[in-house]
Amino acid sequence: MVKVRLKTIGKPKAFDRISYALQKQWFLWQEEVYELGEKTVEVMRDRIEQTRKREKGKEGSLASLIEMEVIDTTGKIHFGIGNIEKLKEQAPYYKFINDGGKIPGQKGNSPPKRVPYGIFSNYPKPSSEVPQTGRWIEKGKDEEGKSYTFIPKKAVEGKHFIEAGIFFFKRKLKEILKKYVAMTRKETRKHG
Amino acid sequence: MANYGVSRNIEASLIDYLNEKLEEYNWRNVNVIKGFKRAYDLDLPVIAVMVDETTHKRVGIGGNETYREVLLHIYIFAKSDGQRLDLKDFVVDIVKGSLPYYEYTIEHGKVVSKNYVCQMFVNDIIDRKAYAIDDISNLDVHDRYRHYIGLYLSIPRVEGVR
Repeated sequence: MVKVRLKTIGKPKAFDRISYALQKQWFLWQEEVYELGEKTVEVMRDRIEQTRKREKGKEGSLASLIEMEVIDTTGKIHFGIGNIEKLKEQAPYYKFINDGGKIPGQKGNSPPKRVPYGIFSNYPKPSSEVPQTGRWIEKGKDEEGKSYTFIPKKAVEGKHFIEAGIFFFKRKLKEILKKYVAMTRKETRKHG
Repeated sequence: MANYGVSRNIEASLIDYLNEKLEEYNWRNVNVIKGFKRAYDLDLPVIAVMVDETTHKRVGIGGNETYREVLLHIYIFAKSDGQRLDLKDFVVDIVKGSLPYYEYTIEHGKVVSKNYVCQMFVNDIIDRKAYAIDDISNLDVHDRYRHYIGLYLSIPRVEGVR
């Protein structure tokens, strides 16, 4: 889950104003924050999809596992994005995709693991003219029925989809809060 | 003579600032670099910085002038867990307010001058262990004690239309 904690910094007067603004427009702003949650999911998914080397149009399993789960809607806003237990079980590589690094080795400091047998989609071999294209097809075989393996040696850069989501959410939440405070201020002036 | 673009200026400014502060506080042999993959060819400890997503915000309604908000990643590749914690606290301490932004002039690929322009403000920080798995002995030595610091910066440098 992406945990977001709201802190109020400043004079109690400012807090009162925010609190009043939010109470007055509760349903509107609650809806807007839930919508923001959905948008954050899109931002995180896009991050994963943008740099994916597979054919486009088909969502990978990690991207589709990033979901928003509404926990409670009564008098509060309570939801989570990216269920860690689910990710650990169904896409345990999510940390690696987020942070990058070198492919882990076997026990001890042994060389990185071999990629399971298969072939590249741009068979007979990856193009040196268009690097970083083609997808590794596990269990794939060439015309002679042979499959291959290799040891990835270079480090892979992370996609930072978690941070992109967190910063997006926080930035937009701030904008929403500002909007509602400004709305309430206007109304207060109007009606005295 | 040519100038770095804004994104490269941000990275170069941060690298210079980190190097300056590391020296001031007696940190020795810390490699500060731009980019991620090169860290794996260097001796530890390494600090790698990378500019990521940039949001261009309008200065005023109807105008074309903008300023930037930038997502910046800092990775610390340490030798030990203690060093990871010390280095990450040090980095967070020196960046959490604001950072200097310089504009660099280059000639034949080398920096010939830099001019101070403004301070970049740090709006938000994420500070966490990077790529942690239970059995670190399975990881490359560079990945064992890695730390991530994410900064969300705003740069009050107004950019017009070219």
